Amino acid sequence: MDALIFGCGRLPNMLIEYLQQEGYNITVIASEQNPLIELEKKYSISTILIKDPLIQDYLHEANMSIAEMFFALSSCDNTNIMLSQIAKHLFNVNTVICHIEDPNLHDIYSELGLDVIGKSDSQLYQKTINLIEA
Amino acid sequence: MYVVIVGCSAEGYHLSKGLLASGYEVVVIDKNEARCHLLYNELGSIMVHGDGTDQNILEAAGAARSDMLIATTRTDQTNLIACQTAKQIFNVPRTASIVVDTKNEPLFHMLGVDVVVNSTHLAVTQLEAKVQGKPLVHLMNLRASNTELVNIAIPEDAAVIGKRLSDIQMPDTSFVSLIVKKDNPTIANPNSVIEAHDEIIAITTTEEEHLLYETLTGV
Repeated sequence: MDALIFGCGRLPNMLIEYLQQEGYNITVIASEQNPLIELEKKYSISTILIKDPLIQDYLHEANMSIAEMFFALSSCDNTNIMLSQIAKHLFNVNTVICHIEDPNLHDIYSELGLDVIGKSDSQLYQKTINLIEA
Repeated sequence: MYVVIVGCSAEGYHLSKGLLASGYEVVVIDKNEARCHLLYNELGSIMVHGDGTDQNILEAAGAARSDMLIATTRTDQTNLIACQTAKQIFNVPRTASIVVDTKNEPLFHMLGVDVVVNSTHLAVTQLEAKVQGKPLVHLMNLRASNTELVNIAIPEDAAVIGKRLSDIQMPDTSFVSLIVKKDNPTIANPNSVIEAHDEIIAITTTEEEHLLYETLTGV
């Protein structure tokens, strides 16, 4: 089982340990090099560094088409939203979770059918556990 | 007709000038304050400074009463979210967007953006057509995923010259639709005979494109 995480801030850190316990192979893709290296030191995961704006090429490299789960957890709402929709509609990933800080965008994309988590961290944790158990 | 343009890129700038000249009511949203100021001097008070994916900014720009929103930033994310917000929140009847990453084009169609202009693809097509001796030119991507319209010029030494279409083993999902002979287009039929310098207009897929090219131009 493969899980893909976009972003490498605090939220991904919280998730990785839990997902590994559940037996997932994890790939983290992000555009910040140093935090990515830190993650790699800490956990046995694959990482992909995004170096240019043509993000879909990196998603292919990360084998998104066979991933069971995709988490868009970067600090950029817009990129999270676009990648989540790519995962859902172009790669047919089963479970897609999208982090959105802006409350307006949060509402729009919940209504459009994305599984959205907002500011609170516990929400992410709880939602992920619910989805994996379901 | 009232048009909201998100992003005063080169495209956004020329588009807004063109639309203003034809008498449309136009508002342009751009994040860059200096650029807004510069254009204010040239185009008048049609600039709104801010993020075109921000609901409050779209509201200030009058999205709710606009007939069309056109997203022309160089960032696909921004363009997509501006169009989706316009539809979802402000019920803008028609949205149009530029896409920069060609792979995102199907997503934009799928998510309901009415007009999708693939700027990279457009530029590549134009350039491709100008490269001397390049026999295959992409004309356009069709809506069905991976399907495209191509133009292949038959070189003088191609093995297919003198053959009928029905005698040529074509790739499974590639179809010749038109054969242009000395500026005279003819609808392809099984008895059409291929001659040197014919221009073949065909429908193919990204996977088969190379095979089709080999079939029609191979020596």
